[in-house]
Amino acid sequence: MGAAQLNDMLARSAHGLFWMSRYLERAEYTSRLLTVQFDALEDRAVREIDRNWRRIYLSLARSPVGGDLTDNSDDEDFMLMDSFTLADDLTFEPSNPDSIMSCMYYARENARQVRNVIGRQLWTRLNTAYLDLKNSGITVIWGNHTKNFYHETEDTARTMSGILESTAYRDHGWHFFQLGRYVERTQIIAALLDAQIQVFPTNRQDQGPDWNSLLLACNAQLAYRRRHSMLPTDPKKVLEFLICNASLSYSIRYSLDRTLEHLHEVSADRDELQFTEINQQVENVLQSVAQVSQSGFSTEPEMREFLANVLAQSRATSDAIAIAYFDYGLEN
Amino acid sequence: MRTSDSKSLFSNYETNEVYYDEMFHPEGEPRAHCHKLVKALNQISAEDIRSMQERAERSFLYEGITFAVYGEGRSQERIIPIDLLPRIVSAADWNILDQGLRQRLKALNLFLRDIYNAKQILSDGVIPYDLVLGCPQYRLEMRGVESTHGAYVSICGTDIIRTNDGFMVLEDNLRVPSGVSYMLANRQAVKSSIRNLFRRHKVRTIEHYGQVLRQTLAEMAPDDNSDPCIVLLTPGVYNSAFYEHLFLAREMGVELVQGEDLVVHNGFVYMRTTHGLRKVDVIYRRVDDDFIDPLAFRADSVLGVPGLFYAYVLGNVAIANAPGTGVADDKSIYTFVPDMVRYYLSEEPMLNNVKTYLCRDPEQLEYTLDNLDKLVVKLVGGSGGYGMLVGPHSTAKERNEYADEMRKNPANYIAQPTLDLSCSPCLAAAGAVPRHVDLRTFVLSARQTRIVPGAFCRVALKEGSLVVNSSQGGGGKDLWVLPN
Repeated sequence: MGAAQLNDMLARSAHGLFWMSRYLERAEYTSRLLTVQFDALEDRAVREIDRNWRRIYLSLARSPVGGDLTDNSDDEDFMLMDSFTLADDLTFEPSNPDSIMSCMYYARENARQVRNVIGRQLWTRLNTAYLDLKNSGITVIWGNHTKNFYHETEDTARTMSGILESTAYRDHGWHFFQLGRYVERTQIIAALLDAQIQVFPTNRQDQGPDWNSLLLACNAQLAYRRRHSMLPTDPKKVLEFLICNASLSYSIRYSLDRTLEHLHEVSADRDELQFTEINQQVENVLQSVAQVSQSGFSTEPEMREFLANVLAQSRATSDAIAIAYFDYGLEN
Repeated sequence: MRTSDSKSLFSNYETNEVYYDEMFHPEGEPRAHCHKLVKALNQISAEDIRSMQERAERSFLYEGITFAVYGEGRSQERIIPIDLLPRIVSAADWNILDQGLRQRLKALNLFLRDIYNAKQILSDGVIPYDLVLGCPQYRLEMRGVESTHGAYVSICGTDIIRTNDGFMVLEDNLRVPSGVSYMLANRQAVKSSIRNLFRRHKVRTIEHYGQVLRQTLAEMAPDDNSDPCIVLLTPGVYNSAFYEHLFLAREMGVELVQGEDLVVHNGFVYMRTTHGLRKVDVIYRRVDDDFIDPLAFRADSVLGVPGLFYAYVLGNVAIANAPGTGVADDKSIYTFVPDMVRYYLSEEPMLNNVKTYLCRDPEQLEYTLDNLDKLVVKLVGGSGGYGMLVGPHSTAKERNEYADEMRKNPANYIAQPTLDLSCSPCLAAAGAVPRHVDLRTFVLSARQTRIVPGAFCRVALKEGSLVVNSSQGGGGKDLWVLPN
């Protein structure tokens, strides 16, 4: 019996952990986007706030409530009304699969099925967070403490990953939890960067704050400052940083490295073609990231094509993982 | 009777001659083994205990110690309310239960072996043929099947009540008995709320139940495999007892599987893991017989595993409890359990049954119909308090409707006198009040028979109510078994 087999687990449980992790990552991400947005609401220009909403919705591939945003409106009251509706849509709307509530609901549903393997601390934390959210609503959180609410929600989601990080037995369950997290993160960053380029073209002048908020949305502001001390923030450098940096936990490179690392763990002892193909698929994307690192981008369409490829490959990897490890037939 | 004149938890507690009180003599004095606890509890204010209780119930909700109630939609997750005042059982009383339960399960397993093989007890006329062979829970498919160590029932949940006449068995649950997780959850809640009292009483531990269960299941493995692969088969997240399934899988450190996770290949059972298929040796199933294998039993079942029963008959996998054990907990067969003890063990039963009228007998039916207002009538195959008529608490209209149903199929019903269930103090707004209780014990059997010294004590929280089932609004209590 190989080492991997000793660490195996019920496929459906691993599937549950994979998706629980993906939903927690997404809940954390949406909370952070809204923290950044509510920070902007305090002192940024209406037009900038409007563009930030656009970035959020583009990155989630979702149409804003009412079909479109109130473009070129300089009316602050109107903008605040929009913000109330949009924040509600992104936080509590059950029909929005990306709302924090939906993500927590699905994370909890997956967690319920695998409670026997995740331990009491994580379940209790997740269940409490969900029940608290269920008992809340946009009118409850709206006001002076809205930003704090998102900040705390982001912290809660992150705490859950932290609990697992410090308590989980490092078997396949752990590796699939990590795979879920980094597959989701790869897709989140690729979609967000693509939305950023669409809303804030890189060649426009005086848009330091727009790119700064992107760094905040990726938990990368501090690291970027340490790495690139020059101001104003350079869009191309930010993009390169968020794509290629191997030490930044919210970069595409880092997420792909971790994905491959955990794939190697779960595919140890398994030399059938389908397992090596999945690993190869991730290695190929990593090679394209290395190319960007060497020669950079020349045009925006080129950047967008690269990001679209990362997104498509990551989705294909996720599907391939499901077929190879979770939903296979008798012949496997 | 008053127990005390001072303003304390028990200052307004009332006892009487009709109902046996678990903590107090009818005159109001605490029973010998409860003295210390009553004294200590009287030093805590009712308000403090209430706030502890609220905390405990909140922790149940947050930890998801819940059950679903059928017919209330998917989103209904309820906690079983806990009453923090423990029920205490003396060492002497526990010894009676322990011995009586072992004896009873031994006889029941011998009965199951007999009726699926030689049918000696039927030939000898101790139990009518038609009662057993006509029982819907008798599985023809099990004929000739021997179970490892003769343990058809490996996990038995027997409900015990107490009256002024002593302990009595209300029913045996031999299919997929539930409730053990609440026994353990209630213990946790009580232990963390009234830690010092718990410690001082040297209450016997029950926390090792998961390991004992695992050991029992491991003994059932085919070919004496010393490190068998054990799984717990659940119908899934929407089952009312799903929390318990999770809990037990975690306590035992085994995988919690659903039908779709298992496949049968060449007569062996395998589960899908992240590293391919792994052979399964023992299945602790929490799925009813009807649904475990669509090829052997109900063809429309999506919860089961096609071919599982075939693998079981070949002896390649153990299933606990074995299919077909429900015949022995049928409420008509129940009346014959004391006879089984005498027949198989040549011993007198240590635990008595409740007097039961079989409505299949015309005379007993007539008596039942004439006394509906005094009796509790149950469906022979029912459980969980569903389909039951509590005569004294029913209206004339309800009794008439119920009687009409009974006349259509009398064999489907049994009746029992309304029982003077014992009482135990429970916390209410005005302090401690007496409420009716019973207890569900858990007996494990494979090579050896094992009983963890504890039980799920169920309590009818409504004043005067005798229905303790959690699905019918009952609650739970911790049960303390004192050391010898």
